[in-house]
Amino acid sequence: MFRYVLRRLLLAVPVLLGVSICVFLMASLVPGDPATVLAGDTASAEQVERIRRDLGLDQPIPVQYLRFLERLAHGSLGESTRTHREVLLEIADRFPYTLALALGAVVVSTILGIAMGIFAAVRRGRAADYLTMGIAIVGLSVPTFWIALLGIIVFSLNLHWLPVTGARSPQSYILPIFALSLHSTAVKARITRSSMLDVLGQDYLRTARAKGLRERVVLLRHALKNALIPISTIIGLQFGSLLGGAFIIETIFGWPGIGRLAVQAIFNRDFPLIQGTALVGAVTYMLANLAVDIVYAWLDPRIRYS
Amino acid sequence: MPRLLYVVPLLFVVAASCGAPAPAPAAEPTSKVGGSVTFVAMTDPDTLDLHQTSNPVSSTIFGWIYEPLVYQDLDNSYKGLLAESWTVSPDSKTITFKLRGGITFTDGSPFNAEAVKFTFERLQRLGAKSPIFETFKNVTSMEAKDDLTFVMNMNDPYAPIFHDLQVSYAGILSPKTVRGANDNISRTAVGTGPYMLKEFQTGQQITLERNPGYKWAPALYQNRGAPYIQELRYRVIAEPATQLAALDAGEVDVLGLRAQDLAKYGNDARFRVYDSFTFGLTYLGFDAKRPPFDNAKLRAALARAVNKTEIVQVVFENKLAKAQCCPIAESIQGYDTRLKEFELTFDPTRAKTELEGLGYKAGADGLRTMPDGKPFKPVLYTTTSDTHGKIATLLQAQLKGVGVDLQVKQLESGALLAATPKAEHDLYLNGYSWNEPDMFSLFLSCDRVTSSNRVLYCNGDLEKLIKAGRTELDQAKRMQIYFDAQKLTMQEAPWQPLYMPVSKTAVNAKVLDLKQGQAGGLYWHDAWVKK
Amino acid sequence: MRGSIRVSAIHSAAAVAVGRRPGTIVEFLRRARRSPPFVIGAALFLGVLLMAALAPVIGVQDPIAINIRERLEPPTMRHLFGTDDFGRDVFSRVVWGSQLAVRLGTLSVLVAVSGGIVLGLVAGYYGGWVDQLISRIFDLIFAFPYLLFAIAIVAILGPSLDNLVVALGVFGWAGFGRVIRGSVLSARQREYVEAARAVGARASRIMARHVLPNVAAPVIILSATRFGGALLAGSGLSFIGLGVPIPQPEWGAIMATGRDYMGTAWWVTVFPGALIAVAVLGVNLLGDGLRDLLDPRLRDA
Repeated sequence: MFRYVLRRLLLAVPVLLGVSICVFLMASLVPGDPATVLAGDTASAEQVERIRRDLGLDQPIPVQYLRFLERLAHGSLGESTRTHREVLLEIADRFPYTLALALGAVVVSTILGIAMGIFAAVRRGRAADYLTMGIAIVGLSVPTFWIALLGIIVFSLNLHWLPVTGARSPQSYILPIFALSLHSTAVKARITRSSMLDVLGQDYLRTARAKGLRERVVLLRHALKNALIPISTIIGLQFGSLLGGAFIIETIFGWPGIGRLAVQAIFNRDFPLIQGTALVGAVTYMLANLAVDIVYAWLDPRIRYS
Repeated sequence: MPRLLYVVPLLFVVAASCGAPAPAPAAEPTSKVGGSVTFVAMTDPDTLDLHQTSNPVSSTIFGWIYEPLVYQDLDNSYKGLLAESWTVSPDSKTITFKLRGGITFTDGSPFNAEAVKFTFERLQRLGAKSPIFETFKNVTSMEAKDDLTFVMNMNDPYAPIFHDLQVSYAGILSPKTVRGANDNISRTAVGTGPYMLKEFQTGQQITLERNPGYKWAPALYQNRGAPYIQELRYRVIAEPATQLAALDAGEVDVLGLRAQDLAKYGNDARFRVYDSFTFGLTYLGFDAKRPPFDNAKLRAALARAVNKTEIVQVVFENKLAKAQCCPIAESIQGYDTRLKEFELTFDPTRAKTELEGLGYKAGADGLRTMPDGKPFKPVLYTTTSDTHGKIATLLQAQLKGVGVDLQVKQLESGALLAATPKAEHDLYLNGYSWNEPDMFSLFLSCDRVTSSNRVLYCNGDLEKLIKAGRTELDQAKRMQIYFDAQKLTMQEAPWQPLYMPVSKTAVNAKVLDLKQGQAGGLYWHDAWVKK
Repeated sequence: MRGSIRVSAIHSAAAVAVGRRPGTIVEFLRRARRSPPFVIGAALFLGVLLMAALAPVIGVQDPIAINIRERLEPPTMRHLFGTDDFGRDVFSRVVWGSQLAVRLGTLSVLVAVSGGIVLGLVAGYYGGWVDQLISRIFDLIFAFPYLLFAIAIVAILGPSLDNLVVALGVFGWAGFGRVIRGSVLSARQREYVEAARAVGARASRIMARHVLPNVAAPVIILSATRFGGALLAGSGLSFIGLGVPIPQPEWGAIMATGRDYMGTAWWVTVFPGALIAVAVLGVNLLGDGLRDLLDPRLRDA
């Protein structure tokens, strides 16, 4: 197991390197550089040049990339060209808020999704099943940002139950988390249902009533365990991508998370911050995947790793 | 376009007094002190270092903390704030300021000429990102003759110097704090202003608290001492819909309203709505360096296809903008109603005739081709803002009405700032926000063609007028120069001025005694919060 | 035997895919008719396609003509979906927008499938370091911040539907590539493939005749899902201003114009949003149905 983890971590390095090179290339191809953005609309050409020199942007791209790697080796992701604060600090300031949303969304979607899936599987073929799965597939199809805006209109503006913006109170977490968990709840509900049906099959329907409650619970638990494998994949992917930040939701709710930071960095051509957020996103995604695979092994000892 | 946020603190210092009476510490009625007022910040302020940013959100915030030497009066004349008075040398190149005594920074150190010199020298050293950087490139030397005498020597006479000294970017720093922080003051702000930095929560909220030691408010205020409102807060909310929801929920107390919100909030008893002009103009520009738009006749013909009234009506409900004739908006010094006769008014028939005459004939589908036969599909570059998107949609329809198939390309700011100097665009839709007739130097002069002159217009005659206007300190002569400059610009039509934005600011009714200036700007120093 | 039944189901689907034996198509459709998800999904999807094809007929009012006097009118007989803040008929805009939606979905899937097939086939068939390299490329694409890529594409190439397609399609290379690689890997182990290789048949011929048909089923199913995904992602990008230029009536862009009026003129955001949901629902159901019909064992997220 240890060797497997080590191998995966080592394989991650070229991928991360690839991500950083691609980000660098992309950032250099995009028109405009931090100097033009920082200088603003009224600046003269000399001002822009001077800022460019101060930021070291007049160096050729490969040189800039090497300096970036050099800083990385010293444990620093550089300074944001906009605020001059350490990139890691800027990210760390916002990471807890994104983490809170991600955790919340994972927990909510898993509990709700599994519950819905069990509910539907146990009542297979009946109206409740179709209704639940119908809700699930609609939930999958609806644009998330649309639901978020509707949520604000209904719950904040009209009913005044929930606050609109920011991350100030516990209630302010409710709408963004629900918006973010919409799709994955639906996915998990569907997976749970189909995984359980795989295991339970027709026998369950016949024997369950005959055998009584205890047997039913045992069967259910066995089926659930089967469902957990694909579910943990989803959790891993969901967690990994959410930690990269959910820009649209964060914008709509005024949430001080990483998603907004990343996009603002792009609009500001803040290269160090763009690199930093991209790498943080990539790292969390890969770690999440690794965690999922480890959980796989734990859940299903039959899986061998070379 | 920066809206409310630019207007509020900028106008807060406009006063109606003459002379410079000594600040008399008045006994503050303690019952008025307290409460908080929450504003909205559209983006995260990048830094509070007033020399290293041009971000309007940042400048609004540090505008409460730092004070400049002068402020602009109602009659557009400049009066002393931290300076008591000044004299200008006969050759107009040297200004000697007599500073106000008895003023201290909130870190205890005294305000004096040394602090002023320190501040401006730092600006020259570090201020490449500052909007007034070029101003101080013109300053050759500065001297702190004694504690309260500051001398500034310029290379050329520079009429806009007082405007540039009055913006919040020209606030005075405390040398003690700046040296102590090793020049890193992005999150540290110590000034002489009525408010101090209390808390900076990145991405969320910036909190300012009142400076109890403040005793030198301008004489236009009844309260010459410390402000009444205990705390000012700036909440970072980017989405307009969310901002509005926050206002409605009471999480935010002050917000500039948009056209579609006026119906609901204009009559809401919870808020008072204040109107004010802004010091800016939005215009439709033509890339004068890119054929065929280097032809002034073509520009003029296309300009006549523009229906400003329709734009103001549809996009701004006739309330949040006022159509403009001239390059200098009516709120800005230099505006002259006599120039209206040169306006290229909406006249689609005339536009069509002129286009035909220039060889842009309409085809079977009603769309015009260029004289060489190729389809005429000019491309308009503008920002990604909703407002500009709406205006562009209308312009598209209006130009189609005269047979021109306008394409629209909305670019985010980094891309737009980079594209325009390269003359990639045919038309340009954007605005400026500069309370000085010398805006010509920034936006229409030859040496800014590779930077801030985004219509790349360069005309020798206009250049002479611009230079003259910049160095002429006699007010009457100066206004005549700008009359001529505007007339020339309107005839040459690198711009078709569209409108001046008008702010309608909703303020929670708990805020009392808020003053309004002539242009409508809000003055906060006498205001207090009802408990 | 279960395995051979499965193989024959795939072969039927493959036959459908490559259009060989018409007999099995009829057989397939007969089975499909009894699958509710397939039927409903196909109906919805065909509905959207029909809307796109018949746009000139249904969307009678000019979708971009401005009519100030009729601004922000609620749904009436004349304006089924009301009007937006320029007086444009929302119904007409939505109908014409269906063309953009179909184009966006189809092209994104095509881009994703073509890249994915190439990468997946090569990785799965050749194995070894080629496989390792391509798998790392897939990892890179998955780990890469997708929004950065989309913004960069739009900033570099300019805002247009086709550039959106590039941004969304390239992202799908990894998704399709992985699935195809998986299918290729399992197909490689079949006896007939081993036999063909032993006989010395050319790699491309083996891939075309033996491997590709096995890949058809998962590709078809994934295409359905990706179509929906492209619509959702595309409308999201349009919503934040990165999509089509003014005044194209892409559904997400229509919603963006109505965003400011959600409280008062709800119809500008609700109807396009509903259409997006219907279209995506359609392809999702279609995907479900196809999955049940072609290979129930492929049921995973």
